Amino acid sequence: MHATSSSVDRSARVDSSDRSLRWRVVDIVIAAVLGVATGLIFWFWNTIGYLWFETADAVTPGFGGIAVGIWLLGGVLGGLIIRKPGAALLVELIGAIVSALIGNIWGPTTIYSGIVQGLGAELVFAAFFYRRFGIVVAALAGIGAGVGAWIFEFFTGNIEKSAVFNLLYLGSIVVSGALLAGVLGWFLVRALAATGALSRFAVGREARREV
Amino acid sequence: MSSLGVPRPGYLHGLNPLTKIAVVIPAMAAVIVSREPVIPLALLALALVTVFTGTRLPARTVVLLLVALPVGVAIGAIGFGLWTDPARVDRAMVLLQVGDYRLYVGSLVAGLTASLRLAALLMLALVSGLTTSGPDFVRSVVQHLRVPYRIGYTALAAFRFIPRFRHDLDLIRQAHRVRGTGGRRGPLAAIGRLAGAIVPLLAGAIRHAERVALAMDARAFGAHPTRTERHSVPLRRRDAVFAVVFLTASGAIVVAIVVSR
Repeated sequence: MHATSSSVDRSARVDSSDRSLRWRVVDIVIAAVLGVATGLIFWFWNTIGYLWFETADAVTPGFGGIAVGIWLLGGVLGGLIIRKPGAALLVELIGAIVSALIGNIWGPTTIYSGIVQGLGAELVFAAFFYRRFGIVVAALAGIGAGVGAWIFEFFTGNIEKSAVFNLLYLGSIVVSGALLAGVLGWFLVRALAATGALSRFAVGREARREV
Repeated sequence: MSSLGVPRPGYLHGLNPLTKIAVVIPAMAAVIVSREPVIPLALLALALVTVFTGTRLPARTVVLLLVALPVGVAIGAIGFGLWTDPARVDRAMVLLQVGDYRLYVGSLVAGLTASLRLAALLMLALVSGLTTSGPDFVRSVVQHLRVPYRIGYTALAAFRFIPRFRHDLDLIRQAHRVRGTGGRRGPLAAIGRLAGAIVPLLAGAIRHAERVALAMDARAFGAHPTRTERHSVPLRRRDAVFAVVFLTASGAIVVAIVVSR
């Protein structure tokens, strides 16, 4: 954490000379690796997060959405680090595939969830033309992923539940997406940049000033 | 994909990976929309028959499928059954009564349906999952679905990272233990351990990926619009035959069950 948030936001818009939306080989490899890493996070969260989900849902039906955010992290991380069209979708999708391959109770349907959650985050980054990557955009991307998940689950089963349940679920998933995926993901990327691992990426060059 | 005189391990291995994935999709859709146990059970049986006739499975997998699958379905049926909402099931027959709690036969049927649906989805996915190698899948996606080979092959490289991640995570945890952090038990401590491991894990993974990307760049990966393959994974007549047979069988099963009701 060497840079203040204002400096991150300012330099996010300069550097247009080397800002390219074309995928380099390193971008693809990093997307794949980030996807695998988030898949492992998902797999870990599949036990703890699902326990939390079920507990919260038992207290107030619909409130379980508050635990969903961690499962939306892939899209935010991919978008913030790689900054190319499709990155959010690709990372979240690979994460979901890994989570399904290692084995979880949802099986192959995890992959469909990954697609809609990644698309939700992707659309938010696209709405800012892949130019803004501040904490607000990150939170919005988390919300986008959450809304994507909500829409998918609405049509695959929640449609049979009450409107109150679905509204509560939407509210809690939005809060969880903004905080656990968006804000947490943004701080995670800053911490990663501070280690110097991201120095081949624009996000790493912004966070660390050359001396 | 062995030819050239080597005895083939079963007809499923000779099919294009995309065929095996595509033909089970209608059956999966039928399982997902079904609301009773018969359709998932029948399609589960069809998938089992396909896998057992189409490939020579190792003994361990056979035991797993014939013992663990029914046990898993039974446990799942009881687990789901206990949690189903009694207001939504048939309450004509009470199976068990403990104090105020009643377990209805209808609840168990609902639970059995849910767990059979999961088992059928798993088994249908295994038709391709057990008989397809990752590289062949990537080759056929690149050749037939026009997925850019740069993405296909890089994704393939990434899946080979998974064992490495496990190793890295172990190292990080050992390092934490050496320094005396962690050691507490319980879910909160586990979340704390993950939070402490995640940044070094990701940083290490990104550094490793950079080296891989550099190595790929050095070998001019992605310099040309197309690339040659070690071998091609064609769509052949047998793919069409298998698709027609499997689609007809799964369609006939579903139609027969729906009509006989």
